[in-house]
Amino acid sequence: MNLQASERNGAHVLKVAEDRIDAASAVQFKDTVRELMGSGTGRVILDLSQVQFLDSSGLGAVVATMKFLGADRRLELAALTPTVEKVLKLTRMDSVFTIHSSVDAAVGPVSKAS
Amino acid sequence: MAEIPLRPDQLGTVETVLAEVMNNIVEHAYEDRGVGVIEMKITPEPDGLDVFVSDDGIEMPGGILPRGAPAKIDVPFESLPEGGFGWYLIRTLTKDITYARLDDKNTLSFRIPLDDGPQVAGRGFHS
Repeated sequence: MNLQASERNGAHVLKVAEDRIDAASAVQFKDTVRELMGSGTGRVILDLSQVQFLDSSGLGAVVATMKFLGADRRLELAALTPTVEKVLKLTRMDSVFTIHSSVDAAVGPVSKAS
Repeated sequence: MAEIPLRPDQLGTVETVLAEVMNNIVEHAYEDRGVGVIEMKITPEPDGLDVFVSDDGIEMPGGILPRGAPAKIDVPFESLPEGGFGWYLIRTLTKDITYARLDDKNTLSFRIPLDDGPQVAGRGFHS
């Protein structure tokens, strides 16, 4: 499970560099996020722009990840592709996450030093 | 094998349904054994796809399909559901879903309604 971690404007951005989060990869997804984000603080934004498909196992793994990070580090999602968005909307789990149209929208503009 | 032209959003619906159905067969009927045969027949109709799936795994408990109730989201944060979405997705995206145990096989048939339907009607294919 290929996750690329970066920091932008004080937020942790985790890009899922995979085409799918599904039954075959759900457990690895959870484990990898824990490894990368377990002991930190601050916002965590999941960049899902490459993920074309999310099944019920993948959705469960994302929810488990949100719960693991805790209510204070509420996991945010960015750049949902159509099928992923549809699964979240149908299950009404889209109301459980903060969802951004893009990573840029999630992290906001870089403040210029004056 | 015939080709059935579908829009990307229709493909997404079909993929979601088939993935959930097949995950269930792998995990429950075949108990994650890692080996098993799943037969699937997909027939295009004017308003969607008719799907028939069978496997040689263990019988559906009680011989009936799970209700697939919607996930409970008006719950405390720690109680948010991590599972139970699969059958809800299947039931929401299909109609006329039927399960039967025939000759030691599980059989599942359902229709995936697709608005504007696939362009080719009446030609079936096996995969």
